[in-house]
Amino acid sequence: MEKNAGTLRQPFCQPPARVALQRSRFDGRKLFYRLITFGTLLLIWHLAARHYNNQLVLPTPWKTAGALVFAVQDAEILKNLALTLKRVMVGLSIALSIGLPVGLAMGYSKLAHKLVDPIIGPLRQVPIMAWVPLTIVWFGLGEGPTLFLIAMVATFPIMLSTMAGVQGVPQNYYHAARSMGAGPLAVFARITLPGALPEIITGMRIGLSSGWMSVI
Amino acid sequence: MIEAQTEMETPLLIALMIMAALVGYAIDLCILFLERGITRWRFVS
Repeated sequence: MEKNAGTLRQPFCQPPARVALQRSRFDGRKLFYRLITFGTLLLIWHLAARHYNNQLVLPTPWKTAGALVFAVQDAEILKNLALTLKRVMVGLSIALSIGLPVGLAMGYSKLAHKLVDPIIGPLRQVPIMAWVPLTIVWFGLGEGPTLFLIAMVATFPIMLSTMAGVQGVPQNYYHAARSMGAGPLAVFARITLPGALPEIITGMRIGLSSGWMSVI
Repeated sequence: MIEAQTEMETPLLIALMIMAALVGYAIDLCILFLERGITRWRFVS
């Protein structure tokens, strides 16, 4: 199986130089478009700030840039930022440890999907702020409620993306692997997991962004 | 951020929002970099 996979992969590969050339050309254009976008945004911001002429409503970009320089140098702000980052990472780890196995099970087995979906479906519709009073009662004041909220926000995107990723793996891949004598573990490790990996990572990205947004 | 909000320090509030956005974006880029590494086959056209 390994040898076949190697030979099959060959025609899709490009010479490294060509790939590198495409990448560098793309990066240049990307930078150019970004400069245009940010330049336009700054111009609109500056004009709007001049129109309102009120620092409380909308400060100028330059005043904000000064505040940003101050914030980057402030030890207290940096300490709080690091603390928040740590909480998000711990929350994401909890979300991964719950969302990944449940999502894999739901995608792989129809029975698991039928058993878990009636709980997950309504539970993920509960507004995250509605959990706040309950989490304070459960975990007290401190790290507990924050970690719970981050984990809660991040679990569902990871779970649903993992499930969709597993369900999206074509059946032919399973048939081919089994016809070549692959056992359940090999099918999981060589077919299911790599096939679902892009979706899992997308779920992680959404979960992490949601966690970061909710904790800030 | 809440302190800046209560003290009506709008420039600092916006600066902290930008800072949070940049950190979040950096984390997202880290995951994208990880994705490129572990799902290499998707990025070779």
